[in-house]
Amino acid sequence: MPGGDFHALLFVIVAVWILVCGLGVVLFRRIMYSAVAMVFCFLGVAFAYALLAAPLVAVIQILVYVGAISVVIIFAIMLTEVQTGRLELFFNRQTAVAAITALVGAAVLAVVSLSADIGKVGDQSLTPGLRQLSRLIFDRYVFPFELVSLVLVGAMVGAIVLARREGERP
Amino acid sequence: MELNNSVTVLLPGVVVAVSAVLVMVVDLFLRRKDVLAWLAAAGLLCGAAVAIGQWGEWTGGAAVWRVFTGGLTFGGREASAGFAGMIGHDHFAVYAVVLFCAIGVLAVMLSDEYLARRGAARGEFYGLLLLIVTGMIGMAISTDVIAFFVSFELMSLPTYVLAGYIWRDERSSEASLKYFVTGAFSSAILAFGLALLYAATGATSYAGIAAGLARLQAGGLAADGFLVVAFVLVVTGFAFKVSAVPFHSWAPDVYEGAPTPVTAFMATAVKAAAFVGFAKLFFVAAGAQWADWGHVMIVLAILTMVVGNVLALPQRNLKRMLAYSSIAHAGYLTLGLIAAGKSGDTVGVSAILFYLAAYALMNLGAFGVLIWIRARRSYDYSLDGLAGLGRGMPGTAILMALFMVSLTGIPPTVGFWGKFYLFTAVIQAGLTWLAIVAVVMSAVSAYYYLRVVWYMYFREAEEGAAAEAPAEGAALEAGAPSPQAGVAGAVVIAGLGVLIVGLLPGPLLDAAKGALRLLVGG
Repeated sequence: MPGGDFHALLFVIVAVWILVCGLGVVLFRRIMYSAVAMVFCFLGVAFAYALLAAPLVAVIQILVYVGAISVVIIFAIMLTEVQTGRLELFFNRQTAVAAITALVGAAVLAVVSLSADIGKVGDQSLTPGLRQLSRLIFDRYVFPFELVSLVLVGAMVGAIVLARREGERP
Repeated sequence: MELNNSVTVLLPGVVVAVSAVLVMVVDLFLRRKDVLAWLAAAGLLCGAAVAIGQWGEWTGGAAVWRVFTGGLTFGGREASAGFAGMIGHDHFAVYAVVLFCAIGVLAVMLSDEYLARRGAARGEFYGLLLLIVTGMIGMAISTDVIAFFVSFELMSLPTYVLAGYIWRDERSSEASLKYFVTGAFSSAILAFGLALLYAATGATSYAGIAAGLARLQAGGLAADGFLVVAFVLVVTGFAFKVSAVPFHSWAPDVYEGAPTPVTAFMATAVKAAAFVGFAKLFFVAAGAQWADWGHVMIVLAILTMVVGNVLALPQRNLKRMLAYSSIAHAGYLTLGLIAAGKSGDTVGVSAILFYLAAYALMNLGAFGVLIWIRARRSYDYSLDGLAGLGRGMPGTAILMALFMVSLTGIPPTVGFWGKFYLFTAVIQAGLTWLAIVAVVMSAVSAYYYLRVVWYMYFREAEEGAAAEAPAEGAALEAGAPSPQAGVAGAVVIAGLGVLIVGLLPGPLLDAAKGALRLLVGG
């Protein structure tokens, strides 16, 4: 396959991009920088989907995550901004322990994943177009799909309950 | 009719979910908020009634789980499957649904007085509570990891909110935040583990995963390390939810800070749902791979029993003490999973089902007594505050003593039978040493449970400490029936349950065994 090398190279670039942005989310001291890093991280994931021959999912990723969720997060940061304090991450003393744990965990995962012989997963011939996706959502996965709507109801009611402050009725 | 069948399977869940929305909508138009508790309880009772009606629907023939060499494994089709194999209803799920609904009704009875006294909104509380129960039902009937995970989240998210429901109380907010952060983290770990299982088997249904794992094993492919990592991640997600050591550190703070009725509900229902849901996942999808996840479970069980019981010893706050006790009981319950996995017999799982009902009765009762005392006079949930209770509130003290004796596991209470069946299952599985550890730890637990009894009867109350001062009942609506009656009713029901099932454990045990009847037979 002649395009294989180019495809692999693109994937490595996208993977490094996602990782660097992900680290940025965690390591930036200003929360607004973290939010912006996350937007770029979402974009990288969208590219990864496109590379995996899932253009529709890539577009949805950009619309929903890059477009909507990032904006909501940035709004939330601006709305909850405390005027007196500075919006910075405070690092606690367990950074070193956490870093070591994360590295060991990642190493174990990498070793077992690379050494495992589990073959290819899923239907390789599937081209996830709009038609196929809607078929899956509204046929095979209709039960979890409807259940998600209940999760959203719970999340909305819960958010209102926790955020309601002034004029609380009995 | 595929669709018809699917809807029938779902019916108890649909009833509870509709009641959740109904309670929240009715809340908008009604001024008498005490109606909401009745509505919520009615919804739960309807759900349970529908589920009980389904019990007799399937007879013989289709086996859900089948005993397999080395573990319980999926065999045959579901007794009643729906939605392209996403969910499957069986006696096991029916037992669980009835249990969740029953705990929900008792929790509603315990909550009404508390909410009225704290002046908190009741409609949203019951709505969220019913949504949690819906999620639990989803966990019990799921036969696909995607449906399972969404149900798991439907159970988890509103629980975080209920823990912080009294937002004016700093500790309640802290409990909610702590529970949310650790809970979200554990959900991510669980999702990661399930994704690895999918990567290894190419399937999301329990049956498909079981088939994929069998294929991997038969092919002799080098995937052992990969599978172990996947199982460890899934077990971690499970351990967080049931607060098993070493993933327990959130439990004492959350249990202490959350509103007491919510704590009672979390300690019983959420734990029950986690055990029921994960038992089905572990045994149907991965029963034959017991070796890959069983040893992690044994370590988990021993740590949980020892740490939970030992750390409960110095606690002087009863909510905190019951939190550690709840950790210890998660350890006992894990023994059931180990016994079933080791022996490939369903006795361990039915012992878990029995124990979950027993534990729910005695724990809801114990928390109910705390709520009852708090409703009658000022009380800070401390051990010292119970001094002289035997004289001041004799009936309450007797019930509390009963619950403590039952939690210890002394006959003739239901707690004894729960432990008896669990430990017997462990011995039958050939793990006598593990049963000995459990019995020794039960003996340790006697110290902190019976100390409560000792304080109630053999300690004099400090001057004026236990003076019968009416609680700040300003928020109670005039003319409404006293919500305290709900608390009293729940405690008395729990007490009668502990005693009656303790004297006559037969029917409940038959139900717990019957829940796995189809699963064993051909």
